[in-house]
Amino acid sequence: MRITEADYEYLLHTLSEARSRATEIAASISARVGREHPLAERANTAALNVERVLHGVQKNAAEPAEAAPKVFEISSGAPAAAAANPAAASPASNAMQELPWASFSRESGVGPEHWVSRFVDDLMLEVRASGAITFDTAGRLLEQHRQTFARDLAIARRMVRNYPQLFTEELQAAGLSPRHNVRRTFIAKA
Amino acid sequence: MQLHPRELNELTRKAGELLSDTGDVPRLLKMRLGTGHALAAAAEEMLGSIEDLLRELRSFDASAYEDDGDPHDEV
Repeated sequence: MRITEADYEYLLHTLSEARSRATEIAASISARVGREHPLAERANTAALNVERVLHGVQKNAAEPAEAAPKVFEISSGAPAAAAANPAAASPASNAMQELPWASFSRESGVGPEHWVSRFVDDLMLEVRASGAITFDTAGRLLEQHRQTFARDLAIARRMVRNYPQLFTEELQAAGLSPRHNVRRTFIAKA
Repeated sequence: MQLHPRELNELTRKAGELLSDTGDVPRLLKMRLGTGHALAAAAEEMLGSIEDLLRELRSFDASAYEDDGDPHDEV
């Protein structure tokens, strides 16, 4: 049995939410009792484990399915031969396999953690899962990412406001004081 | 540093929600990938670590870290 498109949607959504919450809990505890406290270590371990599973699911989703995805079959021009003998696949078809995932953030210059990189990742997951893409799908995914961004922004602002001591280095590196307008900085980076 | 009982309750509530929200993840991954799959095992470990955190929060003695200052804003 394999993971379905709906499973991936559920897992990625649930784990992304869980990562935000776990990170927030860990930062709150560390700010209160110190990073070396066993309670803070437990919270950090939980947050890291959530992150690890999320990355595992993302990686699993990005791996080629057993059958070659339709979108690449259409694009490469010689899918059957390439699927039957991957070693004989043309450079062009290999390039098509590489293109969507890693190359977007590399070629665009935005980091893999940037929302637009994640949006493209999710978009390509949809393509791989369904072999097609629609405006509705793209619009729904974009809206999900907009909401996630807004939620992360709210969390980031609250954390910097409540626990400025945790962000001293980052704020100094950016040449900002702890009272700087975090929202403006966050949006500028986005 | 300070940890007020009210904050501790809030953190405990959030950790409980985290546990509840992620409870189905290991089950789903085991069902789809098999119990021996590394990702299913990692999910099981994740859930265990959240359970440990929740247990630790529930048994934490907030009074040891409390002072007389006003608590911070909502966490």
